[in-house]
Amino acid sequence: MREKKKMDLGSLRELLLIGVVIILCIIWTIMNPQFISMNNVTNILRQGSYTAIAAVGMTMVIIIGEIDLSAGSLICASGLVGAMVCKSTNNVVLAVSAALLVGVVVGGSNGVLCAVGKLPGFIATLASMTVLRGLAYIITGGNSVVWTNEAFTKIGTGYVGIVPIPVIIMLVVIIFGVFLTSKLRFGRYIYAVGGNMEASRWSGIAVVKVKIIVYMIMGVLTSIAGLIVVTRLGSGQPSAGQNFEMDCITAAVVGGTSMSGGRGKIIGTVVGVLLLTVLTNGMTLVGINTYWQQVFKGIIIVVSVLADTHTKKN
Amino acid sequence: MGKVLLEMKHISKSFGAVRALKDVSIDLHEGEVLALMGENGAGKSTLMNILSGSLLPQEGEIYVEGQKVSVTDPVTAKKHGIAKIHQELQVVPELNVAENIFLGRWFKKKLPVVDFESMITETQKYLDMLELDVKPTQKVKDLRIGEQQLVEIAKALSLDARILVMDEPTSAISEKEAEKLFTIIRRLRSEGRGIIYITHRMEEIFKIADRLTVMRDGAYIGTVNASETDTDEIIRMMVGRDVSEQYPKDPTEKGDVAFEVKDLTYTPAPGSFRRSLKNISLKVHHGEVLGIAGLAGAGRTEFFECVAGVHAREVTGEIYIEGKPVSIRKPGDAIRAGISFATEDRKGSGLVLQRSIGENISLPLLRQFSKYFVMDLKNEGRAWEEQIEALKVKAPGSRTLASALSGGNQQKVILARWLLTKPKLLLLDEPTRGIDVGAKAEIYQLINNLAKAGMAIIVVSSELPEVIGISDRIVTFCEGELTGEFLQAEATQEKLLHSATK
Amino acid sequence: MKTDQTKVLIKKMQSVIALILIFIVASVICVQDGKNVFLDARNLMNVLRAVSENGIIAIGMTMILILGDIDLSVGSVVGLVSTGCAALMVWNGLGFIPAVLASLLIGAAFGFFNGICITKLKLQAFIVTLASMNIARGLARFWANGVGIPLTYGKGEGLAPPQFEVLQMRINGLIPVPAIIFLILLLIFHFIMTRTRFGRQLYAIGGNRQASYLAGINVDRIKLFTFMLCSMLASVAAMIHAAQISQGGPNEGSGYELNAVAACAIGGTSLAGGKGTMLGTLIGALILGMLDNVLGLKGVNSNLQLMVKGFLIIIAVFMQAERKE
Repeated sequence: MREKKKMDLGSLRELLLIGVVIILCIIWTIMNPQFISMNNVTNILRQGSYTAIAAVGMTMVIIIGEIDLSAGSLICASGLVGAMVCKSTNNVVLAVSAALLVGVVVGGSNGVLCAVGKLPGFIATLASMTVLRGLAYIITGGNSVVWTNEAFTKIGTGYVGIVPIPVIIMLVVIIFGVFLTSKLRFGRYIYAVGGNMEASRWSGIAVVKVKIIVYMIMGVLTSIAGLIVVTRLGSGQPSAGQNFEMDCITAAVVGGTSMSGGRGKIIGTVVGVLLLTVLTNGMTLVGINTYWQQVFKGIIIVVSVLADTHTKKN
Repeated sequence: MGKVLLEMKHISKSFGAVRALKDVSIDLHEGEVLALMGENGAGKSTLMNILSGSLLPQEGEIYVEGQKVSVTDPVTAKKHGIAKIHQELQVVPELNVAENIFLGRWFKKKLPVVDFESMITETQKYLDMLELDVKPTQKVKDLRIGEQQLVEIAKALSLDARILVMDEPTSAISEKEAEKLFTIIRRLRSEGRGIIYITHRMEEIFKIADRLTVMRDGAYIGTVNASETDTDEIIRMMVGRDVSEQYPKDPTEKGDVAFEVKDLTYTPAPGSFRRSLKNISLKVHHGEVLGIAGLAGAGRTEFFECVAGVHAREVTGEIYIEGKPVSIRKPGDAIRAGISFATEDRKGSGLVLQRSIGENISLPLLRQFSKYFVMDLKNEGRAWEEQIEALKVKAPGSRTLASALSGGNQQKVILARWLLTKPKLLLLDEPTRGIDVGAKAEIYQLINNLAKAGMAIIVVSSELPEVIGISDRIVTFCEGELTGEFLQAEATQEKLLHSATK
Repeated sequence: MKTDQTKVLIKKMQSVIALILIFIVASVICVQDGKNVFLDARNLMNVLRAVSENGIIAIGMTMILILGDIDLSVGSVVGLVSTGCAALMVWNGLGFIPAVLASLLIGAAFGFFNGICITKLKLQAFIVTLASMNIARGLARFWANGVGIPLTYGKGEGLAPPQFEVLQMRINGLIPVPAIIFLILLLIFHFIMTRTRFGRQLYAIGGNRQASYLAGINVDRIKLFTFMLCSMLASVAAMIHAAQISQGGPNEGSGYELNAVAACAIGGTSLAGGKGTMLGTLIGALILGMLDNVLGLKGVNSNLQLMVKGFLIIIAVFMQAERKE
């Protein structure tokens, strides 16, 4: 009996969020029928895609009990590296691999600082955020980077049928994330380490390795998001991606991931991204001042965590 | 006797300046239960942590079946067939029972996909063995503490180890569950495995142990066969002197009623691990020491917390101090009313470890020691010195960090803190847990002196001889209810235990 | 034994030692045309002025970190208050004192919101202040309609009260007023942390919340008050910032929260709570400021400065981390 009730409450949260998203959609549609148009729906999905991709990684980082503040700088740096490699070699595969490599290296070093160096994740990634942002300006000299290769541009702007390529990438990443965290051994280790690090170490789980790999996954996913952002914009900007990490954290938290680690679901995060994107998109469509949008975002965060603590209590 | 399974030879270990183990050697045979005895702080846990690979010894060797092995971490320990059930719970609350039992060794299919189905079947096997009525898919955070401990036991059983260390496995489970565990231990023994069993309960020793090894103050004292010894001899070995002189108890003048509680009922918030309390009523007189006996999880600590104002919202009942009703909504109210509560968990809820001894002592009295928000350091410093001297806290000075002290001295700092508040009623939760024999005697003497000076004291202790030795009157708790009351003269361990396990 | 004590002492003093080292190196390398551009009085005062805004915020952040919490909203509060005080003075014609009071009130209101959510609704500080970071920034942009409000001083319509200009002045043309405000605040809060009941309670709560609660300390009230103090200190920094750049801007102050955390961390404040001092934070802020100044004087690219700062944070915190044997 007890067990069944708990299970219901667990998925209740996601259902509740989906309900809020649907209600929001109905409100926006009534206020502006344009909202439900094919064009706008595609737009929402594309807007949400790169946040969702990085937020999947962020969720894992938060579940393990850490945080990654360097995502915004990395999304910029990886995009820039991709753009520059594409510009000089005109080779898409090389460009993509270079960008992903940046993600692996940055994620790996964050993980090493955290797990081996025993620095708090907040400080370690705060430092790498600063370092990366500086690097981004240095390698570009503060200028934007443009390329000519059409195929590279397609990553962010192309379609397969009527589905935008970023949306397909997003779906693949989400499926990967859900599968990893719920089915794979490694994924369950993330919960174990985040839930009780000592017990995990006693049980022979290589805590250090798990942490480093989670940060690496975060790095790679952020780089994929970076490639989408840069190719959508059409040029590499050294100022891109500021505060992006906060968007990812917000989505994860709204989706029910606990900042104290050990608890959270990828699907929750995805719904969180959807909620935030629908909210912003709709507010713009119905003509709510962009300044207020930020205020609403803040309120949504508080309300959603409030709802969370409330469901937990009962 | 089977052949030698395990030998630990000349093990020494120091933590900073403290020598936790001094040249300790033990051995374990096949098909044997070896009870490892000693008071808290005797070094049993340190020794077992070395065996299970979570601590490294500075000196000494470990042999498994005659082969010298080096156990550097829990993983290599497992490889040599050594498994341990921890005293502190080592569960991941967010994972389910099956995942916890197989933590770190989850089954996989061909891909590294977790094979939940066979894990659940396998888990059910162990749950059935322990007759534990939980589902393998239940999250561990939804289980009772006792059930969580049984999950821990299942985890150790599932390791299929040849050498199994059990560190107080029965501390939070019921008698019935303990009987089940003993049956399993006997079966493991007949399969030729070796079991090292740590406990404080004498009656358990005689039920299942074949031999006993006693440690004291980090040193090996001796080994005897369980069939050739008795409780007195073991205690003598453990404390190093005769039992009779252990508890200094002078007859005291019983005064008026200092504290009375009527119909205290506590209903914890759903999802809380705390034990609910039903209609607890009791009185304590000035100059009286009241002992509360009961198993862990019987609601003793909860009772103290309720009286001290921790759960005010979930508590009903009346509290009287010297006959006057008092309303306690938060710990500050309790302190002002003259009730001081020294918690069991010194590091968790007692001391601010990174701050000085002095600051820890004056923590509840910051208001008294300040004028217009500014601390009166002269006045405060004097009080610190007085308290440190009065309680004989061994430390370089009042500015030494609390973290630098030994367990006994930390306990004295907590007592110094609460005595400084000049309470009418002092609540002591396991005041001697984890401290050495010398400090224990000092604390018994202190309790005695305080009672003589007219203070009302309630002591919770899991060690029955201790409760009987230091109390004038003893009440027993079982599953949140008051189940018995005894005067010191009529109390025996058997009576108390019987009353506490109704 | 003796070497142990020396080791402890070095560990305790390492941020001071680092500061002195940077100072010496700076004095040696910054000689141009036979003149020492670093050891110049005016330049040193520039360092102090540059440090003061971050320093004032870091005072509040130190207390928050000692509690074991974090406040991400201070940067946005700087944006909101700098916009607000400029708007109130320029558009609404408020005098100096009312404008300052209103600014402090805005800060206090945000601190109150943060504190209430954390203590009464039991939400995590990280989340709450992440939310109020968004809210404050949005309100600031709404208030100023997204653009900066220039400050010109004088009497009359659309002019800011001349007293406000004091915040960007220098006494004797040398000692900057913000630096004086910073140092006075620092001394006050150093006193508060070391000698008052409030300071004692902060350390106790951060070190062991449950023990403090059981000792009768009103944990919630202290936390609420600390969050209000932190936001009010951010308001002070915001006014100084507005005066320094002669305008109130809704986009100002972004990233300040992280700079403040960096100063605290370099100064030895632990993110886990219970540990940290105001003097440490002063040293942390000075190290960051001096580094910026020296790299600037040597003509090092400002982006390279960012990188150096990042590495510095890692090294500083790494050195302070307490390691087991």
